[in-house]
Amino acid sequence: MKKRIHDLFDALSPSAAQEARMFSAIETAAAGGAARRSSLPVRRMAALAACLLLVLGGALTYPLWRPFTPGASVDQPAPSAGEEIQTPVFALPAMLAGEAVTWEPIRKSGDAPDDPRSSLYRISAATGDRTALEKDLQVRITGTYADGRKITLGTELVFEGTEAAEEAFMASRSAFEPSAEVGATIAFCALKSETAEKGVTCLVFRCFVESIDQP
Amino acid sequence: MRHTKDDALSRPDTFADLYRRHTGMVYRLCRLSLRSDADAEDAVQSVFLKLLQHPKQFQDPEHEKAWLITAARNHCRDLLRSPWRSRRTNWDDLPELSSPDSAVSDGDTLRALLALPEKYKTLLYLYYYEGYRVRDLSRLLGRKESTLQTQLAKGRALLKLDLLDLGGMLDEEANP
Repeated sequence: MKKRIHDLFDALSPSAAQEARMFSAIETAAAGGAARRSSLPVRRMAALAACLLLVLGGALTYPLWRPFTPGASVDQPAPSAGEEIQTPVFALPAMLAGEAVTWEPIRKSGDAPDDPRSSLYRISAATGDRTALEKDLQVRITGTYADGRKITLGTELVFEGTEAAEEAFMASRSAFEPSAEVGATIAFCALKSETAEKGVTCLVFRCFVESIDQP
Repeated sequence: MRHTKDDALSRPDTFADLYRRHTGMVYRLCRLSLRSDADAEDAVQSVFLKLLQHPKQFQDPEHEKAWLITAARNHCRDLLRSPWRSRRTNWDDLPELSSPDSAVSDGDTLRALLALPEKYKTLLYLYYYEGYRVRDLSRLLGRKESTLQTQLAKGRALLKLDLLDLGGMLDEEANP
């Protein structure tokens, strides 16, 4: 048994060529200050390269798949009636610009993710009282197409209530199912405390195309 | 032996001597743990590179050998715990189709040895191949002598059982 076990371990010894190769790699790594070794398995390098390509590809194509753009402007789908579909860039009401605003697309199951008419957004704004919000929205939401046309959305208050009730309302949004004429439905939640005391923490506005002006 | 980062490279014969003395041992330990030639080669390079870049003051050859054993075991253990290793199957671990006529070959025996749990195969190696006594192994591995005696006996039994199983399997395949 002892002899056999000894012979078994002997079979695990490196060959002279392996020893020389490893020594050469160690010297190279030490001289170069880098842990680059010639015998690094090819499969590991291939996996690393694939990961890098994936990350690079994702970064380069980000504008194509990003779900929304937070901040002072947002890519809004074109709600054109019979118009070619393009993507105008909307300027948010001044009150929301620069605030901690998050845009969260809301979609019902079955919605095509890239259907430009099925865009609902919930905006969680840590700011704003109701008066300012309504006043700001009355100023109109405007946007610009890539070809220079101006689009103006009108707004209509369709819901006010608690956040829980708002969720139920949005879930049954068939009452205002977006059509070619409806740009988006926007819900503003987390209103200021004085409004919340009255049981109103969310407002839902239906946005509709008011005009599209040629440049 | 005392190296510094600069003189280790300027006196490659010293490092080369140390490498020649111990590369087989470090490689066999890593090969046992990692079960892959390529990974074992990588591990050997890492261990010796570490020694080259962070020189140690060794009291005697035994100290030098013990340091390399510990460094190799730690490095291999880290590799085995890495997400890369824990989420994949080693190519060498995949079962091979065997011929019904074949007896238990050297390759089968080796596979049975490599398949032993880590603590047994390393212990068997250091005891039978490197010639360490149980008392020395107790200090080196930080385990009690009685524990080591038990583990040696169990390792031998497991290896024997594995070989018997392998032989039995092949017999069944040959005479269904």
